[in-house]
This record gives sequence, structure tokens and C-alpha cells, in this order.
Amino acid sequence: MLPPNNSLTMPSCTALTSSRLVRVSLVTIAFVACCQLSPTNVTRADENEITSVKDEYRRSVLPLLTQYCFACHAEGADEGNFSLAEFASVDALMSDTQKWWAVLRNVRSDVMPPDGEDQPTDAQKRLLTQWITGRVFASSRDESDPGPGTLRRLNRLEYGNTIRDLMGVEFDTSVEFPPDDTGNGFDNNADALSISPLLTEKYVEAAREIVDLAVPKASQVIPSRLLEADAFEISNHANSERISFEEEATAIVKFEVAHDANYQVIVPILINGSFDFNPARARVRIRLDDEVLHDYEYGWTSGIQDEVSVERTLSRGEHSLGFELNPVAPKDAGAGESKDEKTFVRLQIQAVQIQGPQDPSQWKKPDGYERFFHLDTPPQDVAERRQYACEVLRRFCRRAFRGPVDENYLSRLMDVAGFSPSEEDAAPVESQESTSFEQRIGRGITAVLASPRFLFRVEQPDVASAEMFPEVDEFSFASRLSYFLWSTMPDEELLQLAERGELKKNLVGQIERMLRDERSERLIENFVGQWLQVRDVESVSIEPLAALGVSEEYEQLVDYLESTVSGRSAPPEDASQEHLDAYRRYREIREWRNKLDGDVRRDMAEETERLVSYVLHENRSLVELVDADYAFLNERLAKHYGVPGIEGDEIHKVKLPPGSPLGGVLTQGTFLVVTSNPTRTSPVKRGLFILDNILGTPSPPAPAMVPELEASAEQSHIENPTVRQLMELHRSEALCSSCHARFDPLGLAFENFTAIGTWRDQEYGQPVQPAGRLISGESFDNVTELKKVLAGSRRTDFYRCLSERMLSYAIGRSLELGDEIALEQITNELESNQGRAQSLITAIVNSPAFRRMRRLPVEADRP
Amino acid sequence: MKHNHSHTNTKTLMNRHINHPRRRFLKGLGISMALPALDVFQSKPVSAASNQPGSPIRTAFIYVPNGAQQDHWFPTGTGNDFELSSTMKPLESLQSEIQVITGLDHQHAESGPDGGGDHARANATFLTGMRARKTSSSNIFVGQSIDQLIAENVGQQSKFASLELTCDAIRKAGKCDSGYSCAYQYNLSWRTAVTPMTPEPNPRNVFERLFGDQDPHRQRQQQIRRNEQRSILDFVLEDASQLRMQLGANDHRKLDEYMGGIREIEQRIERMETFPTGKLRDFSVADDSVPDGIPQDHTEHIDVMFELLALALQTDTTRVATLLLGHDGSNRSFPQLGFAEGHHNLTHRQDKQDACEKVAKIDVYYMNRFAKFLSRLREIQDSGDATLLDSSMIVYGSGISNANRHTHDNLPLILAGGGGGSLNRGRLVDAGSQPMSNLFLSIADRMGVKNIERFGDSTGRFADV
Repeated sequence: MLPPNNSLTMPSCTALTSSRLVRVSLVTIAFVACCQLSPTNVTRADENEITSVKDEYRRSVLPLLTQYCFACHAEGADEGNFSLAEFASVDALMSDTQKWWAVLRNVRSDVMPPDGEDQPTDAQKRLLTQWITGRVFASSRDESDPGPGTLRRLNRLEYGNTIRDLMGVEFDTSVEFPPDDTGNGFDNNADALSISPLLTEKYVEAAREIVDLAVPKASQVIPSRLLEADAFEISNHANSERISFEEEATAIVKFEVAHDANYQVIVPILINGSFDFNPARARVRIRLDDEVLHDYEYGWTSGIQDEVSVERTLSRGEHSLGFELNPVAPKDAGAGESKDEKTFVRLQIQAVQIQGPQDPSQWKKPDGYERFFHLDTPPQDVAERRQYACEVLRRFCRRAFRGPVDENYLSRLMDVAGFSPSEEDAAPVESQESTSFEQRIGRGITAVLASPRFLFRVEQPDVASAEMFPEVDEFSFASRLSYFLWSTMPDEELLQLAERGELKKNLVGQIERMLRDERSERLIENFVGQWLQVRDVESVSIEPLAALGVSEEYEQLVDYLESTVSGRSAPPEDASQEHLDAYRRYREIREWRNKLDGDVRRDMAEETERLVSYVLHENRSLVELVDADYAFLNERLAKHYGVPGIEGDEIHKVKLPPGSPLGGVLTQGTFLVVTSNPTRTSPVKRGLFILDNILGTPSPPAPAMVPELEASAEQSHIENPTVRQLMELHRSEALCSSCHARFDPLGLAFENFTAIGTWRDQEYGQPVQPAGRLISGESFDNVTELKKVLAGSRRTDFYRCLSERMLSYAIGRSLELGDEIALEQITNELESNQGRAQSLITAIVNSPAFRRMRRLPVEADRP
Repeated sequence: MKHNHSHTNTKTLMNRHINHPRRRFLKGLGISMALPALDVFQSKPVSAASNQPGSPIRTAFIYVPNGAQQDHWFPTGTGNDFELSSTMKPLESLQSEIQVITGLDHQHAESGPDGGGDHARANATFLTGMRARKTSSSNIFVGQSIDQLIAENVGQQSKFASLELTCDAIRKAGKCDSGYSCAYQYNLSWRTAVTPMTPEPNPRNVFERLFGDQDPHRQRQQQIRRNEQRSILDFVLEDASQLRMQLGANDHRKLDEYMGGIREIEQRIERMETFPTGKLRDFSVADDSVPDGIPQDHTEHIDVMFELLALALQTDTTRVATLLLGHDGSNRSFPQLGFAEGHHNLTHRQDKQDACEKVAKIDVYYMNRFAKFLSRLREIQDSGDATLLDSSMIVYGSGISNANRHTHDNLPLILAGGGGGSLNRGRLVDAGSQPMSNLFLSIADRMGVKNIERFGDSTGRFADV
């Protein structure tokens, strides 16, 4: 199906052998070059190896550079401010790995030598790229070295998810915590996740609030239930939150009780008024079965909250509770006539609480009790109770710290919670009232949630390992897996496997299980949300009329209609044809203002997430992200794109009609919208996005003082120039051409798609010309062909780019030179598995960066 | 309270304030507070701990994104005799309260060998006077910001050493400006060269953090809780130092940040004992005037943040604050001004007259918000005859001057307020060409920071204020 690509087939056996051989020698070279060791430390054997590498460079690499590169980048020339002159001298060979990295990326992606110049053969290219990764980079790092690691703090999404799993409550960190800084495009980047004093303060406060919400304060409580507002049946079908004072109404809810017993019935009454005065008044009665509990006349208020709370004996069976609202004449006579339409007074129904039976013998365990306490009640005996408290906290810490807790910590935690031997029976700390067992556990849990061991992912090496770069232990590995695939803490199964030391043994099965679990959707949301910027599609500001090129027409129509007698209303029947036409067109365009409303934007986000989720969960080839003959659409989105015959609100997989330009992420609204300017498409942004996120060959930043695109319009004498025409003018400036040649063709290929993602054949009456030629030499006529190129000859670039992005996300740091080797292996792995999505996950999880850690200067044992 | 995994059934903490409609806050602060405050509120701020006679000086730094449309910005005239430009028209009634300063530069925001990224640098350099290290994640480094230097020296005199606010509630996904970490672009305030002070976008969180629970009964409970909290803070601090010993040098910075934060809370608890609790009632602010979350309407958001800033300064809850109205490079669009193009895009269309006019309109939009804030400060009686504006030094400006050409000299800058009688207001002042850091030194002096010779790229003090 895919075009053959010679450069991809690499004899992996020989490559492996040769890179091993060289590694030995290159470690020494790196020392000499980077660490400036004194010559006495260099043995004769080392020197020999250095000499052999130098020879190899001189013999096979230098001639390639001389033949293909130096004409522009050495011997006095420095095209694009890039000179390889010093590479001519063998001694400087290793001094600038960054430069080698640039060579590697440019050669690998066929950007260099440029289209039109003499091209190296595939074998020569392979020799050069393998020499760079195998020797230059291997020298900077041992093959099993995972690279640098920084203590990772939970970001606010991970924190919220972890709290949900650990505590069983929702804590909305998007509201409570400030946004996390991102690094290298991801908000789980350890280096960028700093901890400001504000955040520390929030953590401490959140710990208290969460415990207050989640941890039961007693072992037995009065049973309590809520009759939610929407359970009320309302006579005039008003919304239960907005029952107007101007109309008679009843709101009744039926409920059952299970015993003949005393119950506390608590009914909140909330009256809301508009900002400005409204004269309406009403009597509000509350009735429990036949008894009137409350009867009061209310008038306008900016908002008052009353509460009726009564204890009544209820018989087993059904009962009814109701509000009766009867408008009464305004006291303020005459005020009614002048009242503003926008003002109001309303009754808002809130959940009613039924507590009971009140008899303690019929109380029950509070909700969620078992989550924290494994016995029904704490033991009576002091020693046993202390023992039990210790066990409760130990169990909690194991989950909170995602691994075992040390005894020293636990014993101090017991003190803080109020279980020190001296305190156990004395009055609890700092409180006049007695504090229950459960409340003291709650205090301990508060301390745990504020502890750095909870907020940070502290990792430990495998104690059995003596290697220089040991694997992380099973618990740390469980956390790495679960935060990568689920953005949350490990579940019980992972923890138990880790406890038994069997997680790594069962890795394949566990990855499959974790991907089947719905929590893996968070990998999609968080990774794709940032890699493809799906998160932005709901907020990026786009003006649909401008994007569709009709905003001026719309303004003219409005001006015209305003000048007529009927204004913007329907014209009279005898109106002129011009007037009628204008009105019809006005109505049509007016609708377009909503073409990119919240629903469509959410659909777009879901469309992208669903595609990636499908490819991942069905283990499809990742090239389908770039080019596919199917899409995920609902009726609304299909209409937006112009795909016929799709029905329903649910987004589902549909086979695209033959010849459809759609399929893959690049023709989805998400990409098309987030890369647009508010009033027009931006081929530059689209092109750069593809270079950055699909091909992995980012362009250098624009120089200062670049003339903006619109500046070119002034120089042109074309009326209403198309974006393409503007860009051609812009690119004609020498300063701009070298970079623009890289991204313009990519971006312009998508000119058939407007800034709101709809299809167009023309721009300002001229046909869109999507054809182009990539800097790597491939030509295409339209976006469909471009996608074939990306999925074909540029496939390896895409694999590598996606691997780079996902590895960076998985390990929470930017990749560096030393990671090139791992990246190369992951990419090869993908290539030999036909790009299957799950092979990417597996390859990442098996990479040294994911499995290993650098040994710490001071060794600490996990207890 | 329910316990399960379902989103729909679980009570969220968000719901706690379901009964505090936002408009009551706006009403409370904006309308009812403004009037009676003048009569009811008598003499001095809550804090009596100031060592200085009279009322303490407060300072705030307001950042406006993407520079200014220069031909509409600069006033004409000299000294006391100057005429406001069109962008500053909203400040007409406040002309005697402000100094428009020209000729201050941020050389470290200029592009050097580090290349593009002027917007990230503009933001990062604005209050630090330092060059941000170009990195997308590791080894973030710029410099301590002036507000933090002041906070470090005089912060212990108020409940909060400093306050950081932002009107940027939503972060763009993906990478930021030209290889710079987003930390540079979304933070103005830096506690140290490597740790940004995260600003808070949510008005409700700001309010609760500053003023806590206003209910006296619950305040007593808070006292009990504070004691409990102390033991927890001690506990986690000890844990952190033990953990620190187990970790590598790379990780020490993270733990140090954490421990610094914990110590700060401990100090604040100390200060709460020393300073009487700020009762908003004393300032005629309704007890229940807790603002809701982030308003949908951006103007409303800015106004609420300004109101909170005014309130924090008025109650002497803090003496130094920063407010980021929008990060530099912001491409926010302003449909309420009648056009859809993004701010950043517009600044790069200098050849087109209508684009320039639109940029100028955005500048006026921000200026209007600022003018409202200054008027508010002028309404608030601070001590004796002095208004809060008399006691304040408010810096309003941007780290980029011409956003089209990405220049960083002759920055758009206004210094408002009397600085407790130390500032010579109502002037157009030309600094010639000197580092903005020189002005920061002059401000730090007035805030009572002692023994500071240099800051950022300062070459001296900017005396003519």
C-alpha cells in the first residue's frame, strides 16, 4: 500500500554490532573532548581508538561532507548562517554536537542538500546519519543511560485525577489551582512544573478541604438522603431553578421512607431577584403531606436563603413534599406598569434533605467509610485502637505514596494525627471538643496529602540492580506507567503486582489492560490535547464571516437594509427585487455567524480525540492519523465539512465518500482552526505546525523586522489578492525565501480549507491552487496527494516526530541529543511493526529513558 | 457528600459558593462600597504595624500586552505642561496624578544571539531587568523581579508579602514563543531567578485567599485550625528535609521551592497572630461579597481583578502586587470593540492605517480599565487627607515598545500616584535613554528597601520622579 522506501530498511544486525563496537571507543573521546581530562589519564589503548575513529571520519564521512555540504557551508561560505568549516579539522570533530544534530535532522528529512543540488545516495545518507547517531551521540551517553531526570510534581490534572481515585471525591483543580507552566509543549514537564509559594499554599489548603469532604468523621451517622431539585414536578413546567413570582405554581416531590420513625426534614428556600427592583410578591407555602411547614410572603430581594427544618414521625411508605407559590398584588401600587421586562423575582428550588431514622440503633456507616477504614468501628481497647490507627494510615499511605511507607514517617504521622501514646486518651490536640477516631485519621490524611511524597513522584532504583543506570523499582515503574497512560495513580492491581515484584514480568498484559481501561482516554485528551493543540479549539477566536470572506458584504447589506423603511426586518411584499435579494442574502450570511459555535468546536475536538483513540485502541497504523479513508463525524460536523448523508448527534466512524479530501488529523477542524488567524487562514502557521508536530523538522524562528504578509499587499497591484499571491510576493524577499520554502508549500496545500475548517474552491473568485513541491523534492497537486506524501516517503519523519513528542510526554522532559539513539530505536520499532500504535507505547515503555534512572549521589533504600 | 467515581453524582468543591452570585460582589465592591466607604471608614488601614509615620506606601505593577501604538501614546509638551495623547484620554481627569515617563529601556529584552522570542523576553524582562535564558523547559533562569525584592525586604509588614494576579485564565496548548518556556510569558513576578510566582486568575480564589472567611464564628474555628495546621506544616517540612537528603542535586531545587512555600505559610500564620484579622466590614464591604469564578466577559474579569487589587492595597493586606492584564504576544480579539482581528496580528500590520487605529483602540480599551482603577484608588481615603492613590506608586506599562518592530527602548510607561508625597506628579518626564531598572531602584527606595545598589541592568537611580 505504501510506496517502497529504501532508506528505511536498515540491516539492524550489522548496525547494532557496529554501534556497540564504536561505543567503547567513543566514551573515551567524549571524555577527552568534553571533560578536558589531563592527557595522563588517557591510556595508549584509548588513543588508538581515537585514532581509529578519526581515521574512519577522514576515510568515509569527510568526503561526503566535502562533496555535498561544504560548497555552501564551509570554505568561507555559511549559507543560512550555518558553517561546517571546523568539521574540516578532525580535532574539532566532537566539539559541537548541536551542529551535528542539525546536520542529522536536515539530511534525514531530505531538507539538505536542497532540492535541485546533487543528492547523496541512500547508502551515503545512511552512512552519514548512522555515523552521527552511532558515534557522535553515543559518545555523549551510555546506551542504557536514561538521561537526566527531575523530580516530577503532579500537575493539576494529575492531581485532580489522583484525588478522585484516592479519595473518591471530585476536586476541580482547573478552578482551584493556577494553570501549570508548560515546557517543550507539555504541561507535565518536570522542569517547568515549578512550585510557587502560592501553589504550596493551595496544596495545604486543598488537603484540608478534600479531607473535610471525603473522610468520614464518625463510624455511624444518621442516614440521610437528598431529594434533588430536578426531582420536583412543577405545575407550570418552569425550570426548578427559576419559578417566577408572577404565576401560580406548585412543585411537588414524592419520596419513600423505609421505617416508621422520626425523620428530620430540611427544606432550603432560595429567593432570587434581578439586579433591579421588580414589584412582584408571592406567598410561599411548604407542605409535608397535609401539614403546612412554612407560610410566608416574599418580595423582591437580591437573594435570600431561608431554611425550614422540622423533625416529624413518618410512617413507612410514600410521602410528599411541596412548594406552593401564590402571587399577591404588589404593595407598591402602580409600580407594576412601569416594570422593566428584564427584572424578576424567582423561587429557586434546592435539594431537600431527609435525615433519619433518628434513633441511633438505626444509624449506618457513612458513605465511603470502607475506602479509609477496614473495620466497621475502631476497637475499644486503647492498644488495639492505636494498632488499628497505624494500620489504617499505613494502608492509606501505600496508596497515596504509590508504594510502601517507611516506619519512621508512619510513626511521626501517628503523632501528628493525635495517636501518640500520651495523647491517645487525653484531650486531642488543640481542640476543646472531643475529636473522634475518624477525625484524627482525617488529620493524618491531611498531612499525607500535603506531604512532598504525595505531591512529587519520588522514584527509587531497583535494589537488586548493580548497574550504573539501574531500572526503577516496581512501584516507581507502576507510577510511570499509570501517569503516562492514565494521568493518575496506579490502581490496586498495579500496586499488588509491584508488591509481588511481578509487574515488569507481566508488562505486555498490563499495557493491554491499561489501554482497555477508560482511564486511557486521558492519554488521548492530555497528549493529543497538547500535541495537536486540541485544547485550544474551543477558545481560539475566529470571526466566521471574515474567515469566509463575507464580512464586508455583510456590513454593506446591513447598511443597505438599515437605509430602507423595514430596516433589518422582512421587507414588505411590494419591495424591490434588489431589496428582496439583499434581505435573503443578509439572512443567509447572518446564519453563518454561528458556523463555528461551541457545539461545532466541541465536535471538532472530539473528532480528533476519537480518531487518535480509535487508532490507539484498535492498534491501527499511525499513518492513519495522517491519511485515512474514514473519519469521525456527526451530522453537524459533516454538514460543516460538506460530507453528505451523515445523521445523528453522536460522533461515529464513517467511511468517507471516494475522492473526499478528508481523513486524518490535518483536514480536521482542530488543526485547521487552531492554526488560523481570527480573520483568515495562515498558511505559515499551518506549515510551521506540520514541520513542528508532524515532520519534526522545526524551522528556525523568524528574524526580527520581517515584513508582515499584509505589507506585501501594498506593493502588489492586485485587488483582493489571495493569501497565496500575498505569500508569493512575501517570499520573493531573499531574507524570507530560505525558510518559507520549507513551510509555505505545506501550508498552502490546505488553502482549500477556510479558517473555520470548511471547504472552498475559490478565494475572492479565484480558484485555490493547492499544488506545490516540498523542499525534500516531492510534488503534489492537492491536499489528498500531500497526505499521501506525508504517509509515504515522509512516513519515517512522522514516526520519529510522533515518537519524540510522545516520549517527551511519557518521561516529562525535553529530549536531548543523547536521546537520539533511543528515538532511533523506537522509530525502527514502529517501522518494523507497520506503525501499529501500541507498538509505539510498548517501545516507549521499554526504552531506557522510561525504565531506568540515573543513580543518585547518595543512595537511599526503600524500606 | 457522596463517594464514587461518577462525575455527575459527586459533589464538587466548586459548589460551595453556589449562593454567592457574582453580581452581588460587583454590586458590593463597585457600587455600595464605593460610596459609604468615604463616610464610614474613618482613619487608618487595619494594619497598625507600619513602622513609618502616616500610611504605608504601596506599589503595584500592571502589565499591558504588546506595547502601544506609539503615535497615539506619547503626550506632547514637557514637564507640568503637557497634553495627553489620544490613548491616554481616559486619564484626563487623572492627569495631575500621573507621570508619563519616556526614554526607559529594557536592553535585555532586545534580541541578541538568542534570536527570536521578543514577546517572551518582553514579559520576562519587564520586572527583572534581566535576560531570560533561552530554554523550552530545563534550567529556566531570568532574575528576581523588583516586586519580589521589595516583598523580601518589607513584605513582613503586611499579611501577604506580595500578591500576583493575572487576567490570562486560559493557556495556549503547545509551545510558547520561539523556544522560550511558557513560564517566561505568563509570569511577571519571580521570587528567585528560577522560581516564578504563579499569578492567580480566579477572582474568587484571590478573595478567599486574602480575606478568608468573614464569618466571626468560622473565624474562631479558623484559629483552631491554624494551630492544627502548624503541626501539619512542621510535619511536612521535616518530611521534605528528610526526602531532600535522599535525592539528587537536580531535585533539590524542587524541594527547596516547596519548603520555601511551607515556611512562607508558617510565617503568614505568625503574621496573622500579630496583625488583627482584616474585617472587611470595617471597609463597608459586605461580608458575603465573595466573587464568583472567572467572569466570561473579559472586561468584567479585568475590572474585578482591579477591584481586588484596590481592596488588597486599601486593607493593607499587601503592599506590593503585580497584575498581568495579558501576556505579551497575546492575540486576544476584542469583538466588543467592533473588530475581530487578534491583538498580536494587528500590531504587525503597521503599514495599514486601519490596523494601527485598531491597535490604538485596544490600547484605549486597556487604558479605560486602568483609569477606572486609578479613580477607585483616588476615591479611597487612606490616612488623614490622603487618598490611597496618594500613598501608592502604580507602574503601568509594557516590555515592548513598538510591537511591530519588536523594539524594547522608550517603553510605554506611566507611573501613577503620589508615593506618599515622594513623587512629583502631573508631569511628562523624559528619562533620555536609561534602563527601566533605574526606575525600579527609585521605587524600591521609597518602599523602604535598604542597602540596594544595583538591580537588573541598572546603571543608577532614576531620580526625576
